[in-house]
Amino acid sequence: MISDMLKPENIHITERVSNWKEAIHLSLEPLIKGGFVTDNYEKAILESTAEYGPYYVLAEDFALIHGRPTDGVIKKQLAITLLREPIQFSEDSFQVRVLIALAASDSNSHIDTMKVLSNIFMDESKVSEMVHAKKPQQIYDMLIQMENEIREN
Amino acid sequence: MLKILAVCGNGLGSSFACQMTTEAVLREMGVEAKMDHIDISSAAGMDADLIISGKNFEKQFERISLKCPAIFLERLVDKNEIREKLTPVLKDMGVI
Repeated sequence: MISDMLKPENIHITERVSNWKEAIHLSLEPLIKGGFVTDNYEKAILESTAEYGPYYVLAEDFALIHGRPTDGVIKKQLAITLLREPIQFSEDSFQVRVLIALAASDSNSHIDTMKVLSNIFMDESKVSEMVHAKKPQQIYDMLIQMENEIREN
Repeated sequence: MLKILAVCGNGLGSSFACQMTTEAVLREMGVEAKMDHIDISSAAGMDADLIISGKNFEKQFERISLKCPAIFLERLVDKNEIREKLTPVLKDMGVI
């Protein structure tokens, strides 16, 4: 369940960041502080970005920032940062406002979370709803509601 | 059954997201397939009928001799792009 992986206090709204590295750092901060990933996780993501480009930018306004379980994941967890001012991770990538930091402990056990997230990133109107959230709690409620809808179907 | 692999660098985030979007597209198209997601370093040895990955991985795939067709996406979770690129390949394969 997404509620097992996301704490309401790990959803933040930030006005702006000065560059994409700061965006990565900010998005991972709750996971590092909460002891869900080690410091190395951030370093590994920066290294992977140098190798593959911003592989975590999935759609306009939506990035799923993640590394490998072996990069320093202690326990699976999510954190969400909403930027009021979008950031671009490379010249040819989308502008992004929703940063979802994911710590996955293996390739499959976060499937429930991915189901919920996929209902958002596949649907521009849902991404837009998230982008325009006024308070972090609204984002949390939106995700929980989506999970309940998935369960009912 | 048709076996489709979504591939990315880590095999758990972007490829998982791409798998879920592709599954939604296949459902809409009425095509049955078994999908999985995997990291690029493990993809070479995998048995699949079709590979879906991001444009940023196209160069890496050139180094691997693939036994099956591959499509490369600008947007890993764009249902329209997936449908557009998947349709001709599935037609070639005689699936649709």
